[in-house]
Amino acid sequence: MKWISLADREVARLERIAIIGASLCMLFMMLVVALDVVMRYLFRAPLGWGYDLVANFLMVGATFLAVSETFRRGGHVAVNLFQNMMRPNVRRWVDAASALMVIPVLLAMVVTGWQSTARAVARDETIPGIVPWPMWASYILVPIGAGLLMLRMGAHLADLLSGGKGHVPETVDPQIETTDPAVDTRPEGDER
Amino acid sequence: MIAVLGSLLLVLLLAMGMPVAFAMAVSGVAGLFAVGGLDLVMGMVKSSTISSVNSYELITIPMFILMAEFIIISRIADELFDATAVWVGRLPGGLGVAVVLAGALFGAISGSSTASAATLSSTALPAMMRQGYSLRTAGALVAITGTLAILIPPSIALVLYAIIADVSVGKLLIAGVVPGLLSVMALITLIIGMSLFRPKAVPPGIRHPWSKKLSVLRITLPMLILFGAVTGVLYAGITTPTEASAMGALAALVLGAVQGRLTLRDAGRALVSAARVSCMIAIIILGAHIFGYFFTLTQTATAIVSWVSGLEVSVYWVMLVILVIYLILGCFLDQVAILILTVPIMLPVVVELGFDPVWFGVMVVMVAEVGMITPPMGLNVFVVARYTGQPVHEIFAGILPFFACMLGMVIILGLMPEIILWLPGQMSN
Repeated sequence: MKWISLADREVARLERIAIIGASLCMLFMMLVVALDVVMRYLFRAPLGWGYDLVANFLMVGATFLAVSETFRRGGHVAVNLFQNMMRPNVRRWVDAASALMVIPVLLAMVVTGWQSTARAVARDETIPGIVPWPMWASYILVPIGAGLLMLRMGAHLADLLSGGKGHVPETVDPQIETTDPAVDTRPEGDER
Repeated sequence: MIAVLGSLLLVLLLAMGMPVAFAMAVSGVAGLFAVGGLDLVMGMVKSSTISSVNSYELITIPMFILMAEFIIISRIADELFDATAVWVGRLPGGLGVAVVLAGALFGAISGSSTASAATLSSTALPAMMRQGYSLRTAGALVAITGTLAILIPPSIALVLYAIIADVSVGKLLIAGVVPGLLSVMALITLIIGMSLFRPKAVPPGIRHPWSKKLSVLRITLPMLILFGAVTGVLYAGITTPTEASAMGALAALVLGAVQGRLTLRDAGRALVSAARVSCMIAIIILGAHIFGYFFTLTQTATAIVSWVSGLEVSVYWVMLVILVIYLILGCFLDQVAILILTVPIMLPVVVELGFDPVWFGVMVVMVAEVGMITPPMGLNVFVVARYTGQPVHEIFAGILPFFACMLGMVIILGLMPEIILWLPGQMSN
């Protein structure tokens, strides 16, 4: 199926951009909190805005922007014990059923996330604090992340239904690989 | 009734291999839909998605993960085993002792015992074989050492427990120190004993010159100081755990860069891989929020608490049953999944029965880790077996004395909660 692999590639492209965003959120989280500490203990002049920025934007961004790419790499912890015992054909249908059940939940997140974003824009909501950060910039990260994962799930489902193995990496022993992402990221390095 | 169906659905989805986070969200949403229709579902999803992620305490987790990734990618950890081997090499069973120490430190860094087992399989195992260790003992040692580390700060499992249980993160982290060190000492004593009485399985040690001892410190000492500083700062209450974790991550980055072991590209890779792991944990927390709300709404947790407290048996029997459940869960489930799935249900029961939540947190984490080496399922043993190409039962056979030792440790800590609670009790608030 040509269009399915095309969809996979396009979603993967978006995922790559998103995971870079998530990584930058991690970096700034570290820098802002550390700067806050230095300012407080060395200069007795805490930033004041650090907490709001880190919790409401960077933490939310680091989580939601990474969610789809992490799924594609099989990074979400799962119990693979029974899955490994299934015949490939059975497993394909079980995986498809899983994807089908997750999609409505993601849709609910996209819809409600978008509603929150739209309302925050309309009412010009800001975070109460020293710097009035706009709320929509925090809210919108949810529909972006959940929406991307929904696209990923759609491509994954389409691939499974058309006879493929889905877009989650097959490993020799998935139980070990997915239980601990730290194990599989190291030996191969950051492969494409 | 709905709560039972919701729980059954959750178990079914988990068995289907759906990621834990998604399984909890799906079964929670299905349950909420059954209770209050679409409006309830949408209202809950709307309020829970951001609020379960944007907490200040939660930032401790990504930051400790980032610190670990920086240290792992700059390959400082690889030097650990060499350093400990040189320093304690002359003790009876010196190399085995070195593996325990390196495993404890490495696990403390990576926060993951499977990662620790995998890494030591490739470095420490061949070294032990060369010195004449029996394969059983060597494999077993590698499998067990990672499990020690989960208690030594910074422990992501303990931070997560503290967040779920709503107790002080700093207290939990400090509470792990004494049991962690005691377990390390117990294992070291066991190895020295084995070396003295069964020199065939555990050969005597080798002496190394002082020049070598000093040269290995150049790389590992700064890292040890970093860990000491993070723990010390937490203990003294100088910074919040969140601040300590971010400073720790920055220090690890600077350390790696200064020693020339961390390029810009490496740092980027560490950031990406830390983002993945912390996303995995945060999304599980989100799923747990949705499922937990469903459980609260159906008043299931309260029902369980009143049922257990109505039982006509000693509270210690109840605790024993709970801990055995954790031991079994630890055999095949990830720590993060175990904590999220069970603590919200177990903790109210445990507190109602009069146990201390800090003590319970350390016990749960430790018991679940012992589960990782428990025959016939323990995941760590499978990791080692795979990396070494040895049959699983060989390594299980070798693990029995160490398993017994850890189980004994758990029993002691269970009977004497003061051992766990003493150090956090000394902290200033």
